[in-house]
Parts: sequence; C-alpha cells; structure tokens
Amino acid sequence: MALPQKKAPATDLSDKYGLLIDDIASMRTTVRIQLASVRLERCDQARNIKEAIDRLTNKHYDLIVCDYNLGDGADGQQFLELVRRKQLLPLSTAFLMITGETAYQQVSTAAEYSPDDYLLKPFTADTLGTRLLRIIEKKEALKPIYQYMGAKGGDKIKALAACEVLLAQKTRYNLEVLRIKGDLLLASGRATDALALYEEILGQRSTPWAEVGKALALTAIGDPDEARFLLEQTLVAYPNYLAAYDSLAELLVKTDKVAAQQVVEQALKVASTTQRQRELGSLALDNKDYSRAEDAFRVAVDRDRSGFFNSHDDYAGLAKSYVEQDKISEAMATVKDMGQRFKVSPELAGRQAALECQVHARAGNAEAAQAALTKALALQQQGGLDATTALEIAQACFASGQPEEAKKIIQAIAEDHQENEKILARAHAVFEAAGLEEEGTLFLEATRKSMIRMNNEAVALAKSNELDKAIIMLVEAADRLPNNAQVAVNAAQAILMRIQTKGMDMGQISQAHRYITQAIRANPQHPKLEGVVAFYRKLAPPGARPIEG
Amino acid sequence: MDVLVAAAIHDAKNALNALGVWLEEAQRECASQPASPALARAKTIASTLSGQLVELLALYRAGDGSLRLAVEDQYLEDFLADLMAELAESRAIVTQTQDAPEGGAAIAIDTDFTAAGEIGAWAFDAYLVKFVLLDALRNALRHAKQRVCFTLALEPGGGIRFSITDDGDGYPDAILRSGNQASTEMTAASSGLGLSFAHLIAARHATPAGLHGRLELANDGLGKSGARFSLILP
Repeated sequence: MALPQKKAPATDLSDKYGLLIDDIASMRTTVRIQLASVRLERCDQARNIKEAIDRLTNKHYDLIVCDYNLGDGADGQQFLELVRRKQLLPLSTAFLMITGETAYQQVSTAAEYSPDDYLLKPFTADTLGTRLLRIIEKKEALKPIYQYMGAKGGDKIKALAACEVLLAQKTRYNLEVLRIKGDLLLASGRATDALALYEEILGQRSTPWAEVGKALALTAIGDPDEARFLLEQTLVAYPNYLAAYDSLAELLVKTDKVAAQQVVEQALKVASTTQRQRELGSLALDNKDYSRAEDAFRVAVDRDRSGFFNSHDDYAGLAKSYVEQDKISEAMATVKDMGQRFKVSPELAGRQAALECQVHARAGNAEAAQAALTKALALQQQGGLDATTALEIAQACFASGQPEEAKKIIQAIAEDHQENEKILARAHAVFEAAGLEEEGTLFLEATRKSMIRMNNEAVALAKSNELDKAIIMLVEAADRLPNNAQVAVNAAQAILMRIQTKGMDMGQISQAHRYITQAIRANPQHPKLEGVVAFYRKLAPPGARPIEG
Repeated sequence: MDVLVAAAIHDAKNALNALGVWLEEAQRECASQPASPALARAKTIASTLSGQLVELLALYRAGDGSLRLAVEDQYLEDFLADLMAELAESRAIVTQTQDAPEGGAAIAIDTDFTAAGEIGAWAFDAYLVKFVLLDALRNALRHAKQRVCFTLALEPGGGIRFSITDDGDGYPDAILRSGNQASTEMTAASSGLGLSFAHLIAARHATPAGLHGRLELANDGLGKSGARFSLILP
C-alpha cells in the first residue's frame, strides 16, 4: 500500500490576509493579539455583518476568523451561508468559526455550507495558529479542484478530472476529495455514478455526508422511498446533521407536507435560522396550520435585526397567516412594515400592492382591493418582475375574482420557468390557495406539455431540413422566455446547425453566443449546456466572442 | 426545573472556564516571579471541575433526551496530535506543582498511531470523544507503575479502536463485573462519572446501518494484569 504523501505543511501565516469578525470589541482585541503572535499581521476587522460584507466585496482574503455570535440576531453560520450564496467567499478562502460549547453542539454539523473548522472557547494562540495552518494546507491541496468550482467559470468535467488526479496521489485528503467528487457527480446529473461512489465509501465506514449523498442519488435515480428510509435512519444515528433534515424535508414536500413540516420543526430544535423559520412558516401555511405559520414568520421577522437575512417572503407569509385568521389590522400593519424594511423596488411595490389587495378582499372591501390590484397589475405589465412577485399578483387576481388574469400570469411564469420545480410548486400553491388545486394541476400539466411539444416540433423541423422554420420558432420563444434554459439551448443549437450546413455568418454566431449566455444565466447546471458550448467552440472562428468559463 | 438544572451546570462550567482564564492572567501578571505552584494547582482544579461538568451535562442531557452528538469527519492524525498536546500541557502543570511524581508525571506514554495516517479521517464527535480519551489516559497515568500505551487500530468488524493500557494493578473486580453497565464506583479519585460518561458516549456513536460504539474494559494490559481500556467507534 502506498504511503500517503505528505507535503511539507505551511508553517507561517505571515504572507496571508485575514479578516476577523466579532461584534465584541474586547474579543476582537484578544483574538487580534493572538493572531499577531502566530504572525498573521495583515488582518482587517469587522464588527458586524454589514462591515464584513463590505470587506469581502472589496478585497480578497486568505482566511476568515468569525465568532459565532454576531449580535442583532445574526450568527456566524447564517453569515457563512449568506456570503457563500452571494458568492462573496471563494472556496479557497479558509473559514474558521469560533464558538462556545453550546453553539458548537448546535451548528458544528451545519447544513449546506459548513465552516472549514471550529474552535471552542477558550483557546490559546498556538491552537488558533495550528488550526488555521491546517485549513490553509487543506485548501492548498484542494486548489486544483477549487479552481474549476467557482461561481463563474465553473467546469464540472475539469473539476472531476482534478479529483481523479488527487485521488490517484492518495493524499491525506482523500475522503474530502471523494466528498467533492460525489457533489460534482450529483450536480452533473450522474446519479448512478454518484450512488456507486457513496456505496463504496459506506462499505468502508459510515459518515453523515455520504449517507445523505446516497439518499440524494437514490432520489435522483427515482427511488424516493428508499431515500426517505435512509434519511430517517441517518437522523436516528446523526440527530444533529442538518443536511439530513433539509434533504428529508425537500423530499417529503412533494408528497407529504405535514410530514415535511414536522421534519423542519425538528431541524429548528437543532438550529434555528431565519431561513428555516421561513420554510416552516410556508409549510404551515400550505398545511392550513395558520397560527403555527404566524409564529414561525413572526420569529423570522423579529429575530433578524441585522436585516441581512429577511426576504419579502417573511412579511408576505406573516400577512397571509394573519389574513387567514381574519386578523385584518395586523395583516395590514405587516404589509406597511414591509415597506419600511426593504429597499424601494418594483418587486417590493408589486408585492405590497398584491398583498394589500388580498387583505382588502378578505375584509370584504372590494373597492380598495380593486384599487390595489390595479396598481399591482400596472407594475406587472411593465415587465421584469421576478417570479415570486408575479405569482403574488396572480394570487391577488384570484382573491379579487379575476381568475383569467391570474392564469395568464401563471402561464407565462410556468413557461418561462419550465424546469424550475420550486417555482412550479409555488405556482401550484397559488391555485391551491384559491381553492383550485385540481384545476391548477391540470393547468400546469397542460402548460408543461405544450412547451415540450413546441421544443419537440422545433427539433423535428431541424432534423427534416427545415432549420429556418425551427429557428424562427425557437428564437421567438427564447426572446419571450429569458429564464427558460432549454429553449435558449435549443435556439443556439439550431443556429449553430445552420452555420454548420450553410457556412459562417458573424451575425448568427453572435446570436448563438447570446442564447448560450442566456441559458447559462437561466440555469448553469442545465444538462444540455455542455454539448452546445462544445459545439459553439468547435465552430466559432477567431474573433467570435468566447464563452466564459 | 429540568431546564434550570442544565442551565446551572452549563453556567458553572463557563464560570470555571473563565476562572481558568483569569488564573492564567494572574500567572502572567506575576511573570517576573517564579511560577506559582498554588496558581498552577488552582488552574488544574478549575480545569478538572470544568471537564467533570461537561461530562455531567452530557449525562444529564442523555437523561432528558436532548443530548445530540455532533458527528463529523476528523483527521485522526490531527485529532490525536491535539489530544496529546492537551494532555502534555496538563501534565506539565502537574509536574510543576509536585515534588514527588504523583499523578503519573514520570510515567512514559508509548504511542502507536501508524493506523491514523492509513485510515485518514473518521466520523465522530471530536469534542466528546476527546474528553473520554483524556479521562482514560489520566486514569491510566494515575494507576500505572511505569508505562502507559496508547494505540489506534482499525477494528476488524468495522470501526476504529482506541486502546489505552497500563502496567498497574488493573480494574477492580466490581468494574469488570458490571461489564457494559455504567459503573457506580471506581477509585477514590473518581466518582465513576468518567466511566459512565465514556459508556454513554461510546454507545451514542451509531451508524444508520445499526452499528454502535462500545467500551471494553479488561485486565490484560501491560505487565501481568494491567488495565486495558478500549473505545470502539463504529
């Protein structure tokens, strides 16, 4: 057996840039001195989430030391999730969380994004230095993979190849590399390969992420029952593992929302975050458990005094929980509060008007409801509202007795977001809230089928040498549906086919470029994307715009 | 009431941690003078008490159903290095404060962690397992005549095994008889809390496939009948 290769460990932090985040001045001073004593001289400080985000936006850091408690209802785990989601924190940056013992038990097995390491208070400067160096060494070793995993320029095929290279070297980080490889396989739609990988790992040892990975692979392969069983077993063995709760809730939401709500309630006992409160609230709304929904959204709205974690959904959910319990004045007040809380935007105005309409309609105030709806529809007609806001306006249409208008909006959303299950589920929930569950199912299914038919027709036209007709059809659809990656990919594909048969045309190649870019923006994970990008690169002459990444 | 008990234990533990920090600060303030054995002794006691409260709290939480392990991959080499560093630090304090080597200050610890590099990482609750092993090591040092041996190996049936052996007189019969039951009496120096805690933490480590961790106590350690403490994690 080959001995694990050992690279000489990094011995020094003196060439690194650090960021220290803690809301308590004396703690910052203490940790700053400790960092200096392990030769991290270049270290900025942030007192709160806002300052930290400003710092991260303007500068690259090699390492971040963040206290779990950040005050104002914010914590380090939520901060980490926020900056990872906003792509302000590259995977190559080391993130060390400082916690007390209680917080450690709560968050050390965090969900989607976890810190590279935890340090329990109290600790010595030496320990702090050792831990940081260890993380940096690991990040350095995994760099060949990370470089292909950025938000922009991600390339799963190259990242997977880099995994193979590292696995062949048998470094001490083998298990970590396997973990990344599993994630990449799942994200590439290679569920069968992912399943084989997880089963091989689990044959040697049990570890929470591999159990959840196996469940995700099983779900993707089409065995949700086995996946559910495995996730439930995983939670018995690892009751702190939040990713297992999240995956189980996501699985159950499709078939059994009451069970999903219970799972989220359990997860909240392990770690309460604004996002999970919101999830609980919206499940409780769907389950018509209105007082529970009110409590959950109330917590979501009240607890985040930093303002970084709330979304319009929290206020909308709270207002609806009130409406359903006929607490009209509370609902109205919530809609008003919402206006104080967020930056002015068409989305905010549209959401508020749509909610106002629903509150008035419930209170039997038809005239005021109509006035609010008119305002909402005017914003909708200007275009460009996000799907969530548009669906809220559709719900207002139903509430004030204009179902045709509602369906028009929903159809446009469903066509545009043809492959986005979450948005489609939300569209269905709008029908449900209007008491039209069955009609909603049929309506959305019909919309889905007509989109598939359109795509199939275009592909058939392209195959039977009617490329120009296909292109006209697809280009019309792609211009109308900016969030539909499938349509954009097909449009680009057809245009490239025409170039291949009829010769280069710079106008057409740049049109193909535009639709590929549109598809990447709509869904960078789309399975057909890699094929069309390769096709483009094959045809594109010098001087044509390159595809980023 | 239940919440109060847990909160009180928790607060007491934090207070002891704070006390430890202040004692260290006090030592720094009189840096010009020779290290104060009294301060060092006080610090050891604070740290021992704090550790016992961690164990008590875990047992209490297990009783009321709120103990949840935080199981994550741990690089075994790093974990063991941290563990040995922490042990060395507390032994150094003991050495400072005692004329006669009691509490194992003069005992050599042989380690064999070859397997750690081969296994790489393993998933367990590092925070709680560290307490179990530190307790077991200190106990072995207290009872050993000359040697303590600490090893890690892959367990044939699945899992990993930490073994701590010493060349002392072995466990009392009562402890061995109680088998996997949490022991109620141990030695004068310990209330049996440590072993109860160790049994608990071992048993709480489990896999979705139904494997559980366990403790094995036996008197086939070093010498004729030294103690052997094994923690097997699935």
